[in-house]
Amino acid sequence: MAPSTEVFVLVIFLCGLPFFHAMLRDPALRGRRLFFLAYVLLTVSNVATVLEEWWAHDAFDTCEHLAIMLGAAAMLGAVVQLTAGPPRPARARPVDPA
Amino acid sequence: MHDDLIVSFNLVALAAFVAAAVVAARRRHRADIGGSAFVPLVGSLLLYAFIVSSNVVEHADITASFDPLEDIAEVVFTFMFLFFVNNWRKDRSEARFRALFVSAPLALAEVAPDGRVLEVNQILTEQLRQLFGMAVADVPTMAAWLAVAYPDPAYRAEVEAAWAERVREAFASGRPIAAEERDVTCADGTLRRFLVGGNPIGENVLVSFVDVTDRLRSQAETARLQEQLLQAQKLEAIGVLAGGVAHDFNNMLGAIIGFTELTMDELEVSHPVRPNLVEILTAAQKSATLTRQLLTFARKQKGTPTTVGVDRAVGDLLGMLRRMIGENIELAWQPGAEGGTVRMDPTQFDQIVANLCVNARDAISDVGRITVATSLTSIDATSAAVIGDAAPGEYVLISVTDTGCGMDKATKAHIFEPFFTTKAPGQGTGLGLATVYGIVKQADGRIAVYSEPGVGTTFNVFLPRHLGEVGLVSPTAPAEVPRGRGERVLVVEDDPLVARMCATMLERLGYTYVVATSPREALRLIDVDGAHLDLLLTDVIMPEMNGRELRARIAQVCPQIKHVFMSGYTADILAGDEAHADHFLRKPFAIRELGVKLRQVLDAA
Ligand SMILES: Nc1ncnc2c1ncn2[C@@H]1O[C@H](COP(=O)(O)OP(=O)(O)O)[C@@H](O)[C@H]1O
Ligand SMILES: [Mg+2]
Repeated sequence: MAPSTEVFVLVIFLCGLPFFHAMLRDPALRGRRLFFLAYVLLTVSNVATVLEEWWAHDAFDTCEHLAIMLGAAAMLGAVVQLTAGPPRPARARPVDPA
Repeated sequence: MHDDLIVSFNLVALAAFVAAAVVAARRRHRADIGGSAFVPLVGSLLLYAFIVSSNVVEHADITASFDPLEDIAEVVFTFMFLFFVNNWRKDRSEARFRALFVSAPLALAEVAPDGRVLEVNQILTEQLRQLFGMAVADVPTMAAWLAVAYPDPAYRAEVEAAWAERVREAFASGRPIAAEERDVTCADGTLRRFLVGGNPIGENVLVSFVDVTDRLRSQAETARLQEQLLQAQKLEAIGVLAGGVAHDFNNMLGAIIGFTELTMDELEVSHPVRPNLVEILTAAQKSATLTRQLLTFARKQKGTPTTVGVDRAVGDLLGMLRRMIGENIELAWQPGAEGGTVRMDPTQFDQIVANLCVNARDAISDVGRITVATSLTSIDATSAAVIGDAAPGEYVLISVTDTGCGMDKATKAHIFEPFFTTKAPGQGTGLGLATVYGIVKQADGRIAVYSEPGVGTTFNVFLPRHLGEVGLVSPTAPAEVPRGRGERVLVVEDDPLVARMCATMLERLGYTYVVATSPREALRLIDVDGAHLDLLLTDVIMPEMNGRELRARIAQVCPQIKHVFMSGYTADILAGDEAHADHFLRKPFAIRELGVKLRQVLDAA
């Protein structure tokens, strides 16, 4: 694996963090904490990917994939929370263009 | 070993991502997210599912490598996931706006920059239907709405220009559009007051309409009732004040009249001082009339209620009224209360009609017309509030209308106050309407005034209709002054002047007397001298004890004693007790009145 592309991916992930953090402020977004946690875990996996190239390869590799697994679990939890609510109300009737 | 672990991690992750995608797809309708958020969510989940599958492949020693693809996939995932979150939040605020738009208790419409009406909420739809008889489709543009709501082109142009200006300001400043009150014309031609405001959203404008007509109306109603209450309270307060002053005044006038009479009696008819005394007497008697009017206003004057047939009583007055108002003014009489009777003092009834007619005459400068009309009416709960909270029931209405100068609002606010007059000094006393007010109030009636400056005035007097039998007219007094036969009278009067005058009068009339200047002293005298007393002549309002209580106490000791109350008030202590009318002497009284009353009481069985 070329380390340069992995560093690039990590940078992209890190750049996304503040955007995801912003969603934490809206309490009406259901499952937002788990979505954020999932994203953080995926970012962590990318950090491990970069580090494993230099030392403790196996340990960091394990770490990387463990983080991905936990991130996937968090993602599942988030989606379950997001879709846990009752069906949402009908929309306002738009103007009949006819 | 290491690879096995990694593979199993990734297999679990794969299962979780796929499961998440499936859950999202199947329960999509439960989440507050639209397509724009949903697609990137599922997309990013599947993308990561692909990434972990590639990890599985890699670590399972399968030769194929997805390495470059995997990195690209990770980057795409980041963006896609970001998309999802972003759109999700947008959907969320959109949903919130929708909920508000639909359920806000406020009429709302979203209007595009070109004036197209994009959406109208439920309340506005409802109002359009109710007030304008229109469907939403009938107002596709703002211009169509303006044409309906503001039929007057000039006003419409003004509204339109002002609105455009405020919208421009709002967009420039980023603040809400300042609300403005507008009179909107409804389908039935009535005007309703709307508060029209709004908010820029994006490039569109959210217009809000609040119908404030009812609120304004009820505010006006509250203000009117409050004013009415204040007015009544003011008159009440003035009444108490005037009543108090008039009471003392009355006592003093009584003394003046009494002593003057006594002095005159002692002088020969040709005595040079006599004409002066006659002047004093007339002046004092005039003053007594004034104070009596004040007491009437303060409702301290009881009068003797009998049953008055309204049409007949007014009819009997006509001759006098015609003479009073003169020849230039036509007097029209429209009787319409046949069989209508009221229970009150007939003199007071005449006073009402006469005072109103005199005022009507004064209001007409040259020629004109006064109409006196009567009718039978009933007041129900709704109309009661209009006529100064009258109790609902049957009433006789006497209305006096003139074609005179009328009154403005400011004058109307004061006319019932004693001494309020707009007439030149010497011409008006300002007591006419105050007296009328007092009499009407005492009779549990109501009075209402309608007046238009330059057009005329109507006074409507509502008197409770009496539904009982017709009363008897009281017999007239004999011409001779009846004299005493040496009976012994106990005079109780806290005013020494009045007490002294009574004593002198009693002596003159041939009675003997003892005077007490307080109820306590009276009780002491009774203990000593009780057996020899024939009659108690007592004031009613005194410190310590009122006359009525005193009489009750004395009656316990010597039950044979008779009594006469004297008072300027016929205040509440005596009110409602018909039996006491026979034992009552109104202050100030002349010696003859005292003589008649004493004889009448003493000779009664
Ligand atoms: N019919 C009427 N038309 C116009 N003004 C009236 C009428 N009746 C009463 N007023 C006004 O009410 C005032 C008070 O009336 P009133 O109490 O009778 O006193 P007075 O007649 O002695 O002035 C009058 O001075 C006059 O301004
Ligand atoms: Mg008058």
